[in-house]
Amino acid sequence: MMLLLAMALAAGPSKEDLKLLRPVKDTPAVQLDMTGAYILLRSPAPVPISLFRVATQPEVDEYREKRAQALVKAHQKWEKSHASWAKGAALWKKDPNLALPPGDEPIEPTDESLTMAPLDQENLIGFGPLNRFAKDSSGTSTYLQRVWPGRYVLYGSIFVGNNGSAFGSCVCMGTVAFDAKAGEITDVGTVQTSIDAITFPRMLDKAKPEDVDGLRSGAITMMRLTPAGTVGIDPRLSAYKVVPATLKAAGPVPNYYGVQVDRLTAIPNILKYDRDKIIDLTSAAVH
Amino acid sequence: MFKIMQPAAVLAALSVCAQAASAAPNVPDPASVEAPRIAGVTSAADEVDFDKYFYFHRAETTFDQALADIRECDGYARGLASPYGYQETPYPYAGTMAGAVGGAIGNLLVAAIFGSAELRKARRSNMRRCMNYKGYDRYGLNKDVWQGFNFEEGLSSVKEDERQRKLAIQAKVASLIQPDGKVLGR
Repeated sequence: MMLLLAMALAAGPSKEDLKLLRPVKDTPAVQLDMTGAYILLRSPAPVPISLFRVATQPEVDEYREKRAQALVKAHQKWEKSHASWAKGAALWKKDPNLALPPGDEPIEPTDESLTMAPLDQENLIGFGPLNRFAKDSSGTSTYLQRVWPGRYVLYGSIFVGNNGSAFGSCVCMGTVAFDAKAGEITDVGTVQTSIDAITFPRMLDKAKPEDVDGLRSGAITMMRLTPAGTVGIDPRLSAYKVVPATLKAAGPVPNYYGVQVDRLTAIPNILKYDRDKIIDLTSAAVH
Repeated sequence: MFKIMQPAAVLAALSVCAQAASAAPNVPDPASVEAPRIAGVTSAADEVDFDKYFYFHRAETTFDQALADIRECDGYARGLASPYGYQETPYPYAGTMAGAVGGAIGNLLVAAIFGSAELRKARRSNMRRCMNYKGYDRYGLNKDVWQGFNFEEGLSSVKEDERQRKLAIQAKVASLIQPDGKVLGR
C-alpha cells in the first residue's frame, strides 16, 4: 500500500488531482482533506509569493520524452523552411532579378535551443495577493493552499501574465527548500518583500531605519523569510497537524521568467553566503 | 503609455536568443583581448551618470574566473534559463530546461508592455546585484569610454560574437587592469 502511494506521488498529479490543489478560502469553519499536503505562509504585503515543486524522476523522464517528440516536430518544420530558403537563395544567386533576397538562413533547432516550458515552470504555484486565508490587524495576510506532496523551493515574487509575460524578482542566486508531506500543514513562516534599492534608491528614504544599511549594501535583499515559530497558528487550524517547515539552503535556480535576479536574505542557522556561494548551515553543504 | 512590440521584432529577438543557446563560448587568451584605457579618463562631470556607466573589478581574480562570473551574470540579466557558468544543482534541471532561451521570452513580452528603457534599466540592476554578490567592486566610468566595451540591451539584442568580445574586455578590466577612482556602492 505504501509502495503504491509512493509511486503515485512520484508520478506527479493527474488532471483530476490538480483540481484538488487550490487555496483554502477564508470561511468561519475550515474543513481540510488531510490525505493531501498543505502549505501555509504569511506575507505582510499584498504581493505574490512564488514557489515551485521539484520534479520527481518519473516526471523528468516523461518530460524528456515529450521534449524529444517536440524536437522531432520542430526539426521537420525546419527542414521544410530551410529547403524553401535554400531554393530561394539559389534562385537569387543565379539572377537577383528572378527572386527576392533570401533573408536569414533558418536556424536548425537543437535540444538546447528548443523552446518549451521547463518542469519547474509547470510546477510553479503562487500564494497571494488574492485568495488569502486570513488577515490580521497589522495587515499581515496568511495564505493556505493544498499542494501536491513533495519538495518545494521558494522562488521569488513573480506576477505571471496570461500571455507568458512576467515581472517581479526571483531569488535565483540563493534560496531555501522544504518538504510538504501529506497529512500535514507545513508552516513556512513569513515572507517579506522589499523594493529593489538599486533600481529605486529613493525607497531607502521610506525604509525602516534599522533596514537602511542592509538594503543599501545588499545584506537585506528583495526577499526575507522569517521561519515559522514566532507567529501563532490560526485557531481554525487547531484540529490539524501544523509543522514548521524544515528549511534547507537551495539554488542557484535558473531565471525562467527573465525577471530581476536576487537571492533570499541570509537566515541564521539555515542559510548564509560566502560571496555567491550558497551555504546550508543545517548540513554545511555548499552550493 | 504602453508600447506594443511588433511580432516581427519579437521573432527577430528570439532568433538572436536562439543563437545564444549554443554551447558556451571558448575562453580567449587574455593577452589577445583588448585592454581599454580606464585610468584618468573619467571626470567629476561624469559622476551624475555613474549608475549607468561603470565597470567592475575584484583584486586577486584571474581573467578566466572574471569571465565566468561576467558570463553568468550576463546570462541571468538577459533571462537565459541556463546561463553559461551555471553549476550543478541538487535538482534535476539538466533535463528539464526550457531551452537556453528560457526567461528571455517573458523578458521580451514585458519589454513589449513597458518599453525598452525598463529592460535596459533591469539589465543594469541585475548586473550590479549579481557582480556585487560575487564580491566585485563597482567604479564609475566616462560614457564614451564605457561604450567602447559595454552594451545596453532593450528590445534589440546584441549579436552573440559582439557580446562575447565585449564581455571578454569587461573580464580583463575586472581582473587584470588596475581600477581608477573610488569604489561606488553596489
